[in-house]
Amino acid sequence: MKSDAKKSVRNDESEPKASQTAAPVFIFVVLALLLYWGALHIDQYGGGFRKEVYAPFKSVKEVAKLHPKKSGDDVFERGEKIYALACAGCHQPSGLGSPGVAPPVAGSEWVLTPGPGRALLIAYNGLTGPITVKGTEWNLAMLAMGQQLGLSDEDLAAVLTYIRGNAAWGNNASAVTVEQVKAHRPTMDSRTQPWTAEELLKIPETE
Amino acid sequence: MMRSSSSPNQPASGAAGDRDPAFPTVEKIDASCRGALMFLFTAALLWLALSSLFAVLGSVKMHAAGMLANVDWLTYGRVRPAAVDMFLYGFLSQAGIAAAIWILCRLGKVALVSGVTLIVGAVFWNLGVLLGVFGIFTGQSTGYEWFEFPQYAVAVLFVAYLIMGIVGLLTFAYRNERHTYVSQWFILAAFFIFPWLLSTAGLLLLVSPVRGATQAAIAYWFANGFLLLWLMPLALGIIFYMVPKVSNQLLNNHYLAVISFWSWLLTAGWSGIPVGARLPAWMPSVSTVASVLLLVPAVAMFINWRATWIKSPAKQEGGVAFKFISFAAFAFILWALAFAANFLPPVAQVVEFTLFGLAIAQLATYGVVAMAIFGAIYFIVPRIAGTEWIFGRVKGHFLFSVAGLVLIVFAWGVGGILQGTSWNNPLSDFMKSVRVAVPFIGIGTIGFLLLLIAHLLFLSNLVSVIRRCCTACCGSGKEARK
Ligand code: HEC
Repeated sequence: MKSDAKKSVRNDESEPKASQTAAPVFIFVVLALLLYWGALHIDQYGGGFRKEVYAPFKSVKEVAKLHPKKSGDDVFERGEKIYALACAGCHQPSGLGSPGVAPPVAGSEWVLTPGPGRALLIAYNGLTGPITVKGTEWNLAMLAMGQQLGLSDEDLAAVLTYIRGNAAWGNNASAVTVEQVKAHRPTMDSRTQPWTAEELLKIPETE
Repeated sequence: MMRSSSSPNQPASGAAGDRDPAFPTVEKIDASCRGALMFLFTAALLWLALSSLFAVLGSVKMHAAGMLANVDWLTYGRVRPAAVDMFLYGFLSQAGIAAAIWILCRLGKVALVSGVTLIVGAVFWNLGVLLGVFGIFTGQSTGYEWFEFPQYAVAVLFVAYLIMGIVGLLTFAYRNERHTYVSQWFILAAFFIFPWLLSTAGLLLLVSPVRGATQAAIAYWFANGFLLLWLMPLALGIIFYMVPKVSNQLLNNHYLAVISFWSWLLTAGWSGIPVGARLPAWMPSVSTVASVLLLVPAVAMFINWRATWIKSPAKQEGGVAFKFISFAAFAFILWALAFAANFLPPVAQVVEFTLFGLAIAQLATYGVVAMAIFGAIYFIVPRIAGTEWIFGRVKGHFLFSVAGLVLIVFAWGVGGILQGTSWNNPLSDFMKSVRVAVPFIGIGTIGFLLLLIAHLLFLSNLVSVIRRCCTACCGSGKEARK
């Protein structure tokens, strides 16, 4: 160590090198454990890597539930429920109807009229006799579903909004308001027989 | 040859004997660095002293908000970012680049390619910092943390960096010793990443700003990268160099160093987005995981350093520098733990957006990076200037720095936790949470005062070294002329 005695002369020639020892195994174990924990953490808090999920929420579902709905959506959802209860048995959840049971409401010219009048009257008072739907003739009878179930104006507006505006069926007619239903109330209440297609065609499309 | 007797681990060809006669001697290498590095270190130390002055003022303003409040350029919103940026860009980056380049020279056994070019870069760099600080004081701050310098200053800094960075990379490319060592990997990574950080943030935040939440994401990415992929790798490169150098040992484990390097590099960039950031949840949660994963390289590096230095009880002449380096090593592991904890949702719920975050940042930038750089400067300057430090002042610097840092980190850490607890308590009003932190901010001010003293001691020591160095050169010249 003679050279160290003199401060200003430094024996500096050798530069750091590393010894080629094997790396300790535990570091890989720790790394693996932390990676596992990391996967769990991201799974729990990462919101599925969706850009619309912000903390403290954890999934798109949770966020969607808390989204304020557009005013029309409530009516639509209510209509969906009523349809499932009162209409889907014959017209099918798909809206396509079924041979010998009921004609389709999806894409039907009776449904997609500018005004909801004709479909409304059918839904409330029922229908009998020959009717042409999408070029096919049907001759069956539909019960007075609305009357029998005692559907309110709100219910009727909802179910008609649903069948008219159901994009999944390819329908895109305007929503139906309670006022529009109210306008037909007197006709609906005074009618004791199911309608025929012939009678209905006399009612203007726009009503 | 003397050394090899004290270090049984050195390969047979080790010690002084492993120098190829074609390679320049260390004296030649150090001489090639002298002018440029002394310039960089001196300028860096001036910024350090100036920054600590404004840091004291900034801290005082947190508990005496009315003081000097009528001078607009001395308001808190300008003084504090100015102090921080002088420290980050003026001192840490500048001195870090200088120390890193010296290490590249030494490890590559090659003389600096062009000292003059490096000085040109350094002049521009200081101009950039000056412009930036001027911009902040005149109210042109960009508002992004650690990136407050206005666009024109960033442009100058970028060009200045390219000049210095290219000198560093060319020096590395022309190295005589082809084998590389872990310090070189870290330094090179930092040298390549820094211009990417600076230009990306400059383009996307200042030149043609991105919109909405993306801005916040980029600002977080920049500040995190600036610490973890620029300053830290420089500091780690220094520590990896200094530990075996001063202990006169082989670095304990090469493969562990490889693992540390890659796991650090691949993980660090993902961190930095606070748990409560208003960004899509996957971003903070990935950040949390990255911050915790950083513990692996952090622990691996610490083990490697410790296993290296415990083999050598005598620290020989590097003892002064080693104090700072080993402090940085301990601070590093402590910081890594606090940093990871800070990103865990239950912890973040309490401490986020409080003084606690500042405490961790202080521990990282000062406790780790600045301390490592101090150590490097104490080690390098006598070698390139040929003059010794005044040891009393070094001791004083160390004591005041440690005391100041401990006070600040303790005060802000504890103050932050109390502040956060008070915020989370629905029965306590907001002013209460402010009042609870005030005494701790006061303690922090004392800490900053101690740091100021430490840095003045450091600066005066450097001035004395330079004076003696000059008299040694020019004095003897005068004698000759007589
Ligand atoms: C019991 C089975 C049944 C139920 C329940 C039923 N329908 Fe019908 N629906 C029919 C049949 C059968 C026809 C065709 C009648 C005909 O041939 O004259 C028809 C025809 C129609 C039509 C006109 C033709 C078309 O397909 O567009 C509409 C509109 C209609 N139904 C709507 C409804 C609505 C709304 C409901 C629920 C409130 C409903 N139906 C419930 C059996 C049913």
